[in-house]
Amino acid sequence: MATEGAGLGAAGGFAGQEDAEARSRGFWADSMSRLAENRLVLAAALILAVLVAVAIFAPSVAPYDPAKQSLAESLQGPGARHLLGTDEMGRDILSRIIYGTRISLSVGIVSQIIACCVGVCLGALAGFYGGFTDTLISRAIEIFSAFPELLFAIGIMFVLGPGVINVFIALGLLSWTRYARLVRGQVMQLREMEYAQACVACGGSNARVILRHLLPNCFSTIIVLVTLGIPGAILMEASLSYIGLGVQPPTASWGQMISAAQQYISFYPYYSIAPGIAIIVTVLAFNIFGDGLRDALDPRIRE
Amino acid sequence: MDTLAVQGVPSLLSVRNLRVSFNMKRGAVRAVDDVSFEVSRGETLGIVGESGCGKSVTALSIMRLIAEPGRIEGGQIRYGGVNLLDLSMREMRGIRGNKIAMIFQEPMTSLNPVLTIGSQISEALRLHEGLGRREALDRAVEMLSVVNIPMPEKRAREYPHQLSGGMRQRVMIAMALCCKPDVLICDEPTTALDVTIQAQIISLIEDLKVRTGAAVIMITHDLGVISEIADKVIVMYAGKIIEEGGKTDVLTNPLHPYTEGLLNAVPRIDRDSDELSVIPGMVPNLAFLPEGCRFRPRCRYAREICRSAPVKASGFGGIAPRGVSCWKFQPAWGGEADV
Amino acid sequence: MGAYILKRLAQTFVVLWGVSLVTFILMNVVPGDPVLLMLERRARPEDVARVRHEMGLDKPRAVQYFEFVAKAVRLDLGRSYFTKEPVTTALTRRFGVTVRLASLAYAIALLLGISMGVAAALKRGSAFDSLITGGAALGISAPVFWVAILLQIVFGLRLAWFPISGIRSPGSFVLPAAALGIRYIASISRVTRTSMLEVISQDYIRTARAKGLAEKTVILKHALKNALIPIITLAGTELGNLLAGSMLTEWVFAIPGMGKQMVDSILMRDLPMLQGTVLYVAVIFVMSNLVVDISYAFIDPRIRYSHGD
Repeated sequence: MATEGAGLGAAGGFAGQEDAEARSRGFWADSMSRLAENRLVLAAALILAVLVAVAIFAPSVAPYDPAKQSLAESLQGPGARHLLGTDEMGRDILSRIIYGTRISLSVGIVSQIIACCVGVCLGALAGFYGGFTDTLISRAIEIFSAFPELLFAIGIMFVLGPGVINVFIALGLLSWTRYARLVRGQVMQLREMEYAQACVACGGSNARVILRHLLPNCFSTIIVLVTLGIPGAILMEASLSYIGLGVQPPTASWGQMISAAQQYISFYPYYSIAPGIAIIVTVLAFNIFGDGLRDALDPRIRE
Repeated sequence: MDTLAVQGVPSLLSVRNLRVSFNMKRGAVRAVDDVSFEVSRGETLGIVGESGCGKSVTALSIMRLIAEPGRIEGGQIRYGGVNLLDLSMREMRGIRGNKIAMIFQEPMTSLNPVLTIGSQISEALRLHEGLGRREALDRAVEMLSVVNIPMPEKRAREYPHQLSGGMRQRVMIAMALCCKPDVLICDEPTTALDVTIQAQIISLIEDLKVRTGAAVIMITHDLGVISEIADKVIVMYAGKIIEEGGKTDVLTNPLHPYTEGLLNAVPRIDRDSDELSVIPGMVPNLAFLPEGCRFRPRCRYAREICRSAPVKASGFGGIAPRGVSCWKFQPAWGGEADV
Repeated sequence: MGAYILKRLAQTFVVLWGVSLVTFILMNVVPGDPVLLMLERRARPEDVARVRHEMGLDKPRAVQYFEFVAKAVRLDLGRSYFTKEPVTTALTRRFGVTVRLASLAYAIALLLGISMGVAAALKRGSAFDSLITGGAALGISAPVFWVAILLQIVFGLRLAWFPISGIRSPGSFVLPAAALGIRYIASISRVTRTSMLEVISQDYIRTARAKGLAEKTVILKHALKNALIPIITLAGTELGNLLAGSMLTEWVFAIPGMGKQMVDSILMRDLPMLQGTVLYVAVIFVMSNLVVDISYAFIDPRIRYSHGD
């Protein structure tokens, strides 16, 4: 390698840059499109910030108590008193959507953190030790990925029973394989790198090598995976709650609101539309933000 | 060599005042600026320069393969009495791969991975010569043996990933030559290959040129390739031709300080020196060109006068028209120019 | 090539075995005694014991699992607790409906997804491209069941073009297939666009143009065949997700397919039926992935040869 490098320098510094012409053009075009996309990513980040704020300060933001029933006011259309109208029990839909933000965001974030912890640990073990450990974990990854996601989530929720905590667990169990797969691959590659070998040679313990040297290198990729995993989890929670296996009433959840609204679509469609828009905005914002983050941090991962 | 001597023979392909620019957010960047040259049948023209000097863009312009955001702004590319730039896309497709063919730099990525070698070669034959599938395939196999690929029947059924880099470049050559083009443009055909393979490929191109009488435009940064194959040479820098002339003239008696620098940077066995000189500085960014002579910031002879654009000086004798764009060769420079 | 397929087949068997194990474990850790679920609450203890024995639930779990697999291989998935119909019979009947819905949606998704993705890539940066890209972003962010409800409101109730439930007329499949397809149109067009953009900037596309080929040939013959590789991966995994997604769609439109069957069996805690459905769908999913991997080998010669030696 060293001699080759010297040769390049000697030839007036222009060997080895053959297609810089093409490359520099691509680079300009890329950075410009990145610039244009950035505004979109910023907008998504702003929306996410607002959503988080709304979730945290739901009691102060919401105009009404989401659980306060008033049968006299049930199924009213949007109006001055209730901006998005009321549901079948006379509860304020806007307030329920605002409180639903808490469920969606917490499910998205917590389930991905669980998945990330499980996946990173198992993936790192498989990648670092190889051999039988790797075979075992790899087969487990394959088997866990052999079920369509929704089916698997339904199966676990059926066993665990409904409830927010169980949704966390089910969606965590559902997504760990992605993290494990990625970390396993990266650790395998990195393990062979000189600095990791050097640490082993200096008597560093395995745990130390994994924690101090290998995992930090996967960090940006993991962050991207978490960000892009959240919207999937939010959609999955909505589906589970829609079927009645997720978050249980009276806790306000978007999926379950749509489920309740379904029987009123013929004369009261607003009810089912509003929570759906909340889901779309949240999921879209996470998707855009995640894509932007991926492009910025780690262009190697593709969807 | 003899073709060169015959002056007055109409050239096969002539490029006149070609200007190509790329539209960038911060304004247009001119990658090729006022480039003119000619090649005749059986002649090899070498275009030398560093990456980004516009040599590949020039080649792609002749094929009219410049893609967005690039645009040919002006000039003429005359072939067979017509200006290629005036042709419709449809007419141009009849020229590409048929009358004018091109070999690209990266044999590893220039072949389609999911199509067989045979089908990729026969494609052009079916298109331009109207051959049937069977005939075209037979001709493709024939072409493979022309470029010295062993077991051509077997190779024709294989896919690019099954071949080595050198073999793939031979396939590229077979593909380019299958319709017997008048002009063969080679864009750094050996850069990605091992040195021994490089020599084989160069002699193959030379050999086929002699056999078919095609004109060859050889684009390279490798002066060794030029000395082996070219009849005349153009040196490009930052989108402009800065020096031109017969191969021997340019290589043994470089006029432009840049050409001089290039030659000094080539390691030579016959020169007993531990040190190779390197041209200081970097190729200028085309978006921020220095005023006046584009080589000025890196030139050791630079003077105040170089802040205005140099005029081409010509008429230095030699077998091909000789020209250089440098103030050193203008009367305004003063006496001590060491020509 | 043959070796590659054999290797994939062997892998598939391991995965299928794992799938059966996971399914069995899931269904056996469900809280509540299935016998008590079936019988009335005041059933006499000897009846409970008899039913338990009849169902083989008094045997050790390992034996139960072995019997479950042995029967499943012979397509015997037990009988529904409630209708007493063999699970396989019920599934096969329901599966036909789901297949009709899913294949319609799948065909729409592939056709529109690929053509829209290719068109967007070729017109990169245009208003059309933004429209497709933006639409696709919306499409993958919207929950399937909500899109289904939206379609019911607009096309079923407001415009009254199509029925909103059941499968009485051929038109009944239009809205469900659209609802189910939209998400996959979106995801397939996204991947197609990305893949196509990457492919058309490749050197071999320039080579194809340099031969003088017409743009149509360059795109359809040289570019699309390469661009298809990631699309096939996606289409394979999405087939399983489509089947799962059809559950929600069937539920919304009251279509008597497997999805509705599954939700019903969840609500009624009909374990054999649920276990059978999960196994059935998982097997289809695994098999579709196998088909995808094998079809790779036909499209991409690099795989065919590198694994075949």
